[in-house]
Amino acid sequence: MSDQELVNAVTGGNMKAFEQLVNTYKKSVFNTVLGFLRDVENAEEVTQDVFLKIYETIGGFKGEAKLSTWIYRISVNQSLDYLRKAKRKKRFATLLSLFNSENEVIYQPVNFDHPGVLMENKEKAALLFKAIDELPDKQKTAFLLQKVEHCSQQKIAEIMQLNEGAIESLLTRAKLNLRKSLTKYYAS
Amino acid sequence: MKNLKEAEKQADEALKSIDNIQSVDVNEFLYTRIKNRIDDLDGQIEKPIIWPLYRLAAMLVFFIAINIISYNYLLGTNTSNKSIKTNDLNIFSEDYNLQGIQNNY
Repeated sequence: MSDQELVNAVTGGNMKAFEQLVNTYKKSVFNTVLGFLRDVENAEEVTQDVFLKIYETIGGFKGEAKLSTWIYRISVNQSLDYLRKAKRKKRFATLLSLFNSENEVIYQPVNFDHPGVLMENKEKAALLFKAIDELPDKQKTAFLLQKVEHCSQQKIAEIMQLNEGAIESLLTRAKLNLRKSLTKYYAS
Repeated sequence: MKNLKEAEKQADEALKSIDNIQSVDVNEFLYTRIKNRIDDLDGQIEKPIIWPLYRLAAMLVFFIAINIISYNYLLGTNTSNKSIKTNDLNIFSEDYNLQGIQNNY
């Protein structure tokens, strides 16, 4: 079944076709989301959200981009939304803790839990991902799509709806910023 | 200076730490969970559409019933009032021998 046939079938309410779509793209969606979140449990939850979003909005898919590109775009947006919400919660919890007499920690940030990182690299990767968290969203997205999903610059450009030159610039700046941040950490 | 060079070297190593990141397998029950959420969502969508219709229909039936009962009650009251009035007039006219007299004002 071609992408367009699959989309038409899902739009027509064919649940078998939707199951096929989920099975085809679940691994790339989950790994993209996991790259942003680095927590298996939350990544599974957001992966479900991504497919729900796909199910609800597939009628609006016009076929201007490849289906995989459109799905990557939804995965990135859902992940960034989740991180923004988590950041807001963290800020709110910090604010609450100021008024909490017992100074109890209400919100616990997620620990580094990416099963795809080799054991000997866990510590370094945890530091790297902490630095990635500080990057602006566009740099973060371009860097993660290249490193985690091994997407080409052309594919990243299609997902982010930017030209390839802009992606190259984003990747260069992301690497420079990460190197600067990590050097600062190791020098201190 | 040496410290900075060492830090830069460590930073480069950290940057390479995700170069060989492995693809992770997804929970095998993912589709079932998504399907359950879709079913829940469909249920939630149906409820707000159907329930107000039932409520509206019930309210209309109640309103119409109240109106019919009120109308019948008021009609009944008026008829009995009329007959009471006529009876009173008959008694009055009998008392004063007014039966058969027509007013020609």
